Amino acid sequence: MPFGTACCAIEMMASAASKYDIARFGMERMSFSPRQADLMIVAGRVSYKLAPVLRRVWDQMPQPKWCVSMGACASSGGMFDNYTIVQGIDTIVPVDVYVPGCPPRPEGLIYALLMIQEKIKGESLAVPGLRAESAEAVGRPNLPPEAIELVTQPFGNSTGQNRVSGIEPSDALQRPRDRRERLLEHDD
Amino acid sequence: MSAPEAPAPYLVLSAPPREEGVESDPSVLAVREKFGDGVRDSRVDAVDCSVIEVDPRTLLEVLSYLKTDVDQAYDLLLDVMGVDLGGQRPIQVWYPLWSMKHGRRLRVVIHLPLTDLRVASVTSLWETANWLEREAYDMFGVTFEGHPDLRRILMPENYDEGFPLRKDFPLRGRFSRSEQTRRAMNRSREDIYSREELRMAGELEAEVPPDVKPEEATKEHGLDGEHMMINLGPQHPATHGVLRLVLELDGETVVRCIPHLGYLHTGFEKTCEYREWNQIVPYTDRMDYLAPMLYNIGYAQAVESLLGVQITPRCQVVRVLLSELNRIQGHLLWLGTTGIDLGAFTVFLYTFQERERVYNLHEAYCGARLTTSVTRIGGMLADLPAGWVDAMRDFANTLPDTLDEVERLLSKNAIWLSRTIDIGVMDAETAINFGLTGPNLRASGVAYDVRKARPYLGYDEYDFDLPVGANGDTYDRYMVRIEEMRQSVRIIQQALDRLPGGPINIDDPSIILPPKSDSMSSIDSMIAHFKLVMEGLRVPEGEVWSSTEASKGELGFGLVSDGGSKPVRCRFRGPSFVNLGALPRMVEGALISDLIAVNASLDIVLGEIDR
Repeated sequence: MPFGTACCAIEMMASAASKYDIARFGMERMSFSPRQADLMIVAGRVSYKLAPVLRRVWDQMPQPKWCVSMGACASSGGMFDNYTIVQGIDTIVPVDVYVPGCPPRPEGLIYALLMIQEKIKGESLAVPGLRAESAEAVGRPNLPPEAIELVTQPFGNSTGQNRVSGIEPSDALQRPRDRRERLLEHDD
Repeated sequence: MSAPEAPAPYLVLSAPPREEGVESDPSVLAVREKFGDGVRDSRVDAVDCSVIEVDPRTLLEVLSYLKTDVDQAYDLLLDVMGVDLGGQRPIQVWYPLWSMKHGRRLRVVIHLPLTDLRVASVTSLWETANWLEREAYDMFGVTFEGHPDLRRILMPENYDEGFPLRKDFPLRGRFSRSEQTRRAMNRSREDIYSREELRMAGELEAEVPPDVKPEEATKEHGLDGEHMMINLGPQHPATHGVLRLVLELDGETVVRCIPHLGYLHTGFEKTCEYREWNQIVPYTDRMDYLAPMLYNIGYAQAVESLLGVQITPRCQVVRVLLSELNRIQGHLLWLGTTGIDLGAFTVFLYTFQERERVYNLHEAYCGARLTTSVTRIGGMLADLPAGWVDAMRDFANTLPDTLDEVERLLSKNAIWLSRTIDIGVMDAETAINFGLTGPNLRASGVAYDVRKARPYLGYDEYDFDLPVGANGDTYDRYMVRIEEMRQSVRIIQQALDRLPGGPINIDDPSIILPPKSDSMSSIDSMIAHFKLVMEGLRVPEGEVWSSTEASKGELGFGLVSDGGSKPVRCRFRGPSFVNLGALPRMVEGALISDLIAVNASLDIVLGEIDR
């Protein structure tokens, strides 16, 4: 699910085009419908006007699903610390991988997608609550006030959010062992 | 598509030079004579453009005279922009005008006291004023009386924090971040659709009298029974970003198209008021990320005209080279994405291959692929690296081969022809009235290009043609852009041949940083470096509305300086914002699939529409 808004979307297109060609990694199926997508790439700045749309698209994606925040603006607001730009999309949706750069190069995006693959390998369906959907919360972009307070904490927004629609604090979101850790383990 | 040398129905001349200190502008003299007391002041700005300040009550009459009188004929309204100087001073509204017939420009200015922010709308004269006035209303709270649809355009319609570009509005908004998020996430459907659209969708059924059956319902009662409303975007692959269109459909025919903007509103103009002059350059990249250097160069040129400095001959030619490289780059992306929209995926792969070569040239020069930030006020970030000129020549020599290939794929392709010919037709008169510029205007047969009309960077010394279309349809817009890329290649080849030696930056330590090697060895350079970094560049008090030809049309920069290191007002007149304003007219009565083709052919970039 490419959610491209600004400059990063052009780099996302470049990664799909002939030179970088993410099809090499089996990722070429850009689904423009959230119903058939399992990964949302938010490429570019998100304004407050767009925020409910972003949340709605995320809610429309079926489980299991992951999210990549591509570029400085999506990750933190970037150079636009002003009245209209959301200061990091993790106040709206949970994010799995942040890609730094303004905009990141296609290599950066490809690396992020490989990291997602690593992360998926570390997740288990046996963890209860990790991807449970709450029927009332699905498809509702409007959050209750207390949930908003929760997600607009200044740091570490993602850790407070569950990946189910709506906000249900859960300890199921343990950070999977990352690639480096596991490689080191392998060395031993 | 006609040949490049086809006669243009509109004569475009460049303005004659004027004498110092003497009021010689015939339009100013004529307006003074006709309106007498209605004219409060007249002056000349930094780019030698006459400025008339008129009484707000006579504005409509003055503009109507300027547009309709044969001797004036200012038929192109370029912008409607507000200026707030702060300190309870009146809010200004600027109306830059251009006369195709006489090749003259003029800027009409009004001052509105904060207690009475009302002025007559000029939408009756120019259709393009519709969106521009809505934007001024959105950002400054100026009420344009007689405007058909005065709503907020970039901010949400129920935005109640105030008017963002007013000086009393804080940069980060009035509310806390969590309150802003809460308001954003708790929008109801009524906030997202206008009342009119809800009525179209049958959501406000109470307004249809109960004695009227659905099949007998007419427009006055809401949507008549046969019509349907659909919402296209903001997340849609064929809207080239986050454009949202609300469509009223009769079967597959578009009855009405209502664009909703602002989903990518980034607050560039507000943010730039808090940045130093050189710090604004990176912001200009991110408006039109398809051809960023054109924006860098246009901005630097506007500030340089305020400063009154002349860049070096080498810098001029380098800027021409980069401008044309980026014009090609912007058109290539347009070609690729339009190809995808109309079902020709191969073209996308071909054009992105060429774009990768452009990226390589960018990277060799400035290190970045997309967000280049190449200009500095008074020069460039660096001189061209070794071998760059050869790489550029190689690119210019081989690009036409790819263009030929693309043309072989598309220009005679039956599907392409049937989806583009006679679709979204715009005649010259209407196109000017809607304020179209750039390839979209030239496809309608008007040979207007800022490079020819008001030559800058020495464009008058280059030999190139302006391709113009004959029919103003989607196919012409395609052909004009293809031909423009070939013309850009011609300009690049000429520029490479004449690239002079010498310094790339001007020799003025109060404007541009001295070379790094000097600042490490000489105390003077070190002091200049320190002052420039710590205090920032100071630009003398003044105002300017300067424009250049970007890949999408006329790119205007309206700058106001109070002598400080930051601008008081930094306005970007994005060409695609104005061009998109013509979309509802162009798709009336077309099919939805034509809407996609027309929208693609306008070459919009949302970063610069929503700013």
